[in-house]
Amino acid sequence: MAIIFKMGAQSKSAEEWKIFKCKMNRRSGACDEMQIGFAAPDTADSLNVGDAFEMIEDGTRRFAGTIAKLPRKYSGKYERAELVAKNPWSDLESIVFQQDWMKSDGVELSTIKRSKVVLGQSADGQKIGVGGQLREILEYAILCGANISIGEISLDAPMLLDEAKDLSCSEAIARVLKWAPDNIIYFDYSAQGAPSINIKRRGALAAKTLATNSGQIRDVSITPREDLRISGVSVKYETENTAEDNTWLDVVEDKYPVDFNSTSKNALVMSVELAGSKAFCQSHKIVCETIQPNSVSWWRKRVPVLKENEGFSIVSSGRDDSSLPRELVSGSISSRMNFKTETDRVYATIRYIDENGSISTREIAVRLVATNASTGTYDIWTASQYAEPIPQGLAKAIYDAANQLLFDGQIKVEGGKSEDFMGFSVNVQSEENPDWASMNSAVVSCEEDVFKSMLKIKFGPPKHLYPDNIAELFRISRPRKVPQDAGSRSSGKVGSSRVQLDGLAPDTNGAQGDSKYSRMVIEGDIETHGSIDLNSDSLSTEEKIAIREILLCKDGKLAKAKVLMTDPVFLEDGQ
Amino acid sequence: MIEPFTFLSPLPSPLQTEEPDSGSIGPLTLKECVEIFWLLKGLRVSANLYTYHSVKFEEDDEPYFEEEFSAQISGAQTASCICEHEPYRRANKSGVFFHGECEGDGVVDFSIRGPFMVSEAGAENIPFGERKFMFAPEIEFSCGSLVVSSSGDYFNPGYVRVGNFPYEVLGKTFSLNAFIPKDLAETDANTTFRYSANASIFFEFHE
Repeated sequence: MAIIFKMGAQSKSAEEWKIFKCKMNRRSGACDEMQIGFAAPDTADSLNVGDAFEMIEDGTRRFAGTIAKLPRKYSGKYERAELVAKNPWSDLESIVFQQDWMKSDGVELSTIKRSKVVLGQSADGQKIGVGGQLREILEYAILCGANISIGEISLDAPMLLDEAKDLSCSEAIARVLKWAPDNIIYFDYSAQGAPSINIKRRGALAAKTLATNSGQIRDVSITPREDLRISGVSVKYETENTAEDNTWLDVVEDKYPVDFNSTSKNALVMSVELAGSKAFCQSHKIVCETIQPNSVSWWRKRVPVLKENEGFSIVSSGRDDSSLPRELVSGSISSRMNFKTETDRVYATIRYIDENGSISTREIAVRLVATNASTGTYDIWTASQYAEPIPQGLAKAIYDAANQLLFDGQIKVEGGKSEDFMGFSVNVQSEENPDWASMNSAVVSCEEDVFKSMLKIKFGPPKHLYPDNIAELFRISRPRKVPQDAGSRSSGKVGSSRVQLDGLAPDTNGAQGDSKYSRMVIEGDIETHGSIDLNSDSLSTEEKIAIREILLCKDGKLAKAKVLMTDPVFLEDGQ
Repeated sequence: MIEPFTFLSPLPSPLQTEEPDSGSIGPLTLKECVEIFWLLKGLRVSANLYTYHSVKFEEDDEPYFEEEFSAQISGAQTASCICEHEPYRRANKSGVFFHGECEGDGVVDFSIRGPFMVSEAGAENIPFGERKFMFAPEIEFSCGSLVVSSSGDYFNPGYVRVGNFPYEVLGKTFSLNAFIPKDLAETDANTTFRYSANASIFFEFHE
């Protein structure tokens, strides 16, 4: 037996390292550890916590990890140096799992990492099962520097969306595996490179059979766990939906076996809350009126200067862009109201007399929203969050995982190696206990004394992961938190900000063209002042009043001035 | 100081056109014409004239014919003329622009008519402001055979101009002329004709 230990940059045999003790402890879903003791403490002086550690036996790597602790022990005049190495599961314990979430700055979406995670959901918002979620966690850990590779992940049970914050990758894996409790996690160190992590269902493990009379087995302790068998699984999905101020509860039961009565003993009954739908109602109250460009009263309402003018008439009128019959006077029309809307410009040429008698011809126009809608109140429902879909087959998956009779126990095997049993299930041939031959109980941990070639394997439900009594099994879904904004992960929109308003609002922006006066009366305070009356009717068609320069006498001297006057016309005789 | 006023035309009535003569007060610009019309306050005329005319043959001891005249004349405007009125009132007045009477040896009327536009070729194409204007004085004093007149070129053809008396209006110089009969200008040995004259006109304007 040639054992080589690589520690840091040094690779030496066990003898050269002066190692007198070497124990390996491997556990499903926890850190594999190796403890070694140095007979000469100074040989450990050159080692540091964090150094790479490998154990190679007869050319096969049996353990790989990093040095986690270097304890020193004193007993009287003796000093011992020890070393504890941990496998890369410790990396999973030291990396906080984060997911990519979309973040919106109002214009563009960008990706950010958040330690608030929604398990059971992919980055694009789709539901994923246990296997998919485990891969995402492991890939993230590798990306963050975990020294592992992904081996075989052969379980793909459905799971529910589960929101959590600030989980380490190992905690996230454990949380996901609650939905597949019959799992086994183990590392394979034999290949070069990073150790590979494997996660399998108990039923998928190859079986190894040990015979009590082989002379290899020292101690056997096996307990059938009838107490952990369940009679059936009933998953009651409760969905609380909200629409405006109304909230109602939907309950859908998924049970397995189909004829199972959830009121029976050892029935695993779970009430699972699903994220419900949330919808908001927008009531759009709109007022519409018929567009009448030829109507004096219609224009009078829209052009303030004409409001109280009784003496105007419409010379011509028209519309620019639309033939829709009505205009939106108040409210807004959303695109989801299924009405047509168009912005339009209605124009007219009017002739009117203002309050002081000026007669003007003027282009007026009003910009408005034309529509085929009618006055009324219209409700539009907007979903701010869609209901979490009910997973298929969860009751069966849990039933399959928890229905089998489990055998809980341990065996001491002389000359056994941990890798021969980790990732396997065991059967024990015993004349006294024939049931053991087909128990297929998964190995959950191995404690190996390498130098003494003694292996203690434990099988059955892993106590550090699996409920040790039926009551704990009922609590699978208790720590689960229903995500309230799972949709925001891929959209960048939080639920409360998803009420979207669109559509056209009324636009009564009246535009008035230039006035074309035919008579202008300038008038101030008529009690104290006169007025200026410029009436084009007093001119013939050839006449035009303009500012002209004339010569005149000012204070007896010649002067010039500019006056508003017609072009002088010579008088003929008799005029 | 006159009372300020503005009249919407340089002159209050359409102007007639007249042929100028060397005794005219002109040609004037419109500006000068306007100032004379609106601002002439008055004018004073004075003249001293003397003539001696005798005929004596050699064989006679006494002149066959002998006469001697002298005249002293001074005058000013009468109340009937336009320029007698305050400037701002002149637009409403009609009549002769200036009329005066002289006192002294005989009563003599004199006047200044106008204003007129000077008759000139192509006048229809000349803007009003660029036309030429004039006043026509009608002043004439006589003493024996001596005549002092504002007439110039077209005075009686039997007379010859023997002198002139310049006067200034708005910086321009015009003149009165002295005339005597042609036959006295070229007398024979038996005839004696002596004369002397001075005359002046002073135009006074409102400030």
